[in-house]
Amino acid sequence: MKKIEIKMPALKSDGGPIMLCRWGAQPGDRVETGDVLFEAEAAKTVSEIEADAPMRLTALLCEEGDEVEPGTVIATAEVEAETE
Amino acid sequence: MIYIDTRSEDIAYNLAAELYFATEKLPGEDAFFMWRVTPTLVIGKYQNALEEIDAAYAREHGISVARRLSGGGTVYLDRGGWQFAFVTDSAPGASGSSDSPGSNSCSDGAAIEFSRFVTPIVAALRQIGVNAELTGRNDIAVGGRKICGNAQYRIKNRTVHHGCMLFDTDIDELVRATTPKAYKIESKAVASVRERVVNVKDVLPPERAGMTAEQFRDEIVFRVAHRRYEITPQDRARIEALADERFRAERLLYTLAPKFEMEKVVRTAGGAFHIGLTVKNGKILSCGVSGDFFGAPDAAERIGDALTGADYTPSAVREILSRFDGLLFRADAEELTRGLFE
Repeated sequence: MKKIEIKMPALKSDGGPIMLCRWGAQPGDRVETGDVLFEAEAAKTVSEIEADAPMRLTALLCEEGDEVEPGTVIATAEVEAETE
Repeated sequence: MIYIDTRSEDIAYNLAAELYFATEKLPGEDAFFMWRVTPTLVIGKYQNALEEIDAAYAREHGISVARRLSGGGTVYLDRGGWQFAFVTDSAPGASGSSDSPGSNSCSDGAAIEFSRFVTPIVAALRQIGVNAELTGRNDIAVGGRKICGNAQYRIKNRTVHHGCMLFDTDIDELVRATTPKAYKIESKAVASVRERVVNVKDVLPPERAGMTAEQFRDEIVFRVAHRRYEITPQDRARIEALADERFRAERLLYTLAPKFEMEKVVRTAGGAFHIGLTVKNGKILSCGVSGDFFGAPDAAERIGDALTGADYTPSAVREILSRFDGLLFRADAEELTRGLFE
């Protein structure tokens, strides 16, 4: 398994903090491609952020309601390691 | 751009129709909606209902309360205003794989974009002689006074853009209804921003004076959309189901706000109840009760224990408190529930 970091995307073109509103999964949960990892709100817009690959969440580093800067690591997960 | 006329003044049905055409029945091109409702307070998806609305005022004045899926603050709607919505594909790249080192493995969330939706509305307003302009907060204003606020949600690579247009809204009622009671609440919920507003009807050019709300809608729709789509009976059945599931249930008003802590004093003829609550994901995590009310010696502790773990909705709290009606002097479940939620 390969460990990965999940970061808050840059949702606003002018930067600034983004609120993490809701986690869509909890540590230990397996998440499939397209499942909602979390929802975030910035600039009066609520965005669902989906998993781009199957993974198992290992830790959540932010609480619902926290405001974080884009690029902040907000969770960790494990994905299948790629094989040659 | 197709225009979808919901032919409904039910807030839940209209919000459900937008969701339906965003996620279930993709019309093949961008869709535009323009609808209005009877007096309604609509809170943003992650707002705390208690912080944003005066529930007692809304109940006494027949104002409905609903939660939408887009962000931003609380708005007051009535039949004098129009809500428009664009339902489109999100901008390219909104859910593409990140190719940065140490890939995120989540959609990269393209930058939020309002001008694509607000610009055609501003253009349509200008064509009918309203000197509209886009503000820094992505609102539409005339002479520095807001006529239209905007918000969005993005779901499954689709964007739903909402606009709330004041045409002939009761501004006095808008101000009263969006002024919440001062509660002592510690929360991280999204707060509303209150601004100066004006109705479009009051800034129309002289040659358009007397324009009705329906004429105004037709003028906008004519300039934004090029054909109509008629909702089918099959569409309607599914939209009604979505309205029940996503917008009508009481719990939806109270369960989406981030964790919050609240202290309230509910005064009854039998004395004052000091109630402290911690609520997360719609559940009461902890509840402490004290006060100078008359009742069974251990009533305070038993009420607190009974409410801990309960759903934070008026019906759930009322049901639990009703078990104590015989143990309290001159205070009942209905009075305490209203005190907690209003």
